[in-house]
Amino acid sequence: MDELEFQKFKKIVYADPGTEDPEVLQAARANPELQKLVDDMRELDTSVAATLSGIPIPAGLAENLLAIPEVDTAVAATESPAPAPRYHYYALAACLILAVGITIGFNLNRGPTSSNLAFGDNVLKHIYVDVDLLNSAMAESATMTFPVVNQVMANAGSRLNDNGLLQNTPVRFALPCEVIPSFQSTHLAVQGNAGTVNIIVINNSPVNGEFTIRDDRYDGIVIPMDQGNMILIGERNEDLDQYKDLFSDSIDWVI
Amino acid sequence: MLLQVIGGFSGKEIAEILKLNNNTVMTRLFRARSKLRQEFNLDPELTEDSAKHNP
Repeated sequence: MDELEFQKFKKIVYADPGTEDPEVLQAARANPELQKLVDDMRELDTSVAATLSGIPIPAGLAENLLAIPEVDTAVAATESPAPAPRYHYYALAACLILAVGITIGFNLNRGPTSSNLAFGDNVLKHIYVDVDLLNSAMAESATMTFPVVNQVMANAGSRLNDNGLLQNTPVRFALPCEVIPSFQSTHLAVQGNAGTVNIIVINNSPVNGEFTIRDDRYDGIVIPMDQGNMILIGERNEDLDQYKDLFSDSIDWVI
Repeated sequence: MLLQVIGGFSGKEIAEILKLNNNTVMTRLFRARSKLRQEFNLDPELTEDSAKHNP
């Protein structure tokens, strides 16, 4: 099992220890260490369930959590009848969504369309979702070779040209992703001067022209290419223009 | 994790409930369990090297 396969195995098992994926189960059966990982994660779930089942949910917890962002909601909530038990979980999940809400500012070179705004929003959400996994991978993994990177990039109908331009900017993270449902993408990362620089290649998208993305932490550029789009996302003080040139000249489309 | 472990919902069902992309849900579940393992000092776990050395 190579590093890429191991990361995929680990991601599936951590996300769903009870997975019935035949490839995962077969890999676990063939490797005691992988089977132990599956067993450990299932045991962890059992412990979590046992722990949580012993803790009664305080009356009104969901309403109180939902009331945090808006005071007026608290008044309405106290007048509401007690919700059904499953509603508690929906309410808690809704609280999590509110807690991780992101405010995004766009500095547009050209007038943004609503689809561009939605696209940029999706991209930044994707970055925040993957940031821990990515940082962990960046800390652990060494440079990835072109064949391994291109194996991943084939998912998005593209490849990296080993033309020497990236000799001093080696790719250190590459995984398939899906920023937009039904459009296959590849998430690459290199080490920048200010932190990790993300390069996302999508084989198609609704973007109608180059535009920038910005929020409190990240700057980004969405760059239409011949057969798709390239998105660069880096920390606010990262100089993304150099990576725009490097990767624009290094990405080939094979679809 | 509450929806999955206690509620018994699948990743796809959780995605529909939360109106999120399925991949987003699975990534968040991955992160949640990663943090739990760290909090409970269950890492270091299986290393990449040991996995690679097995078929």
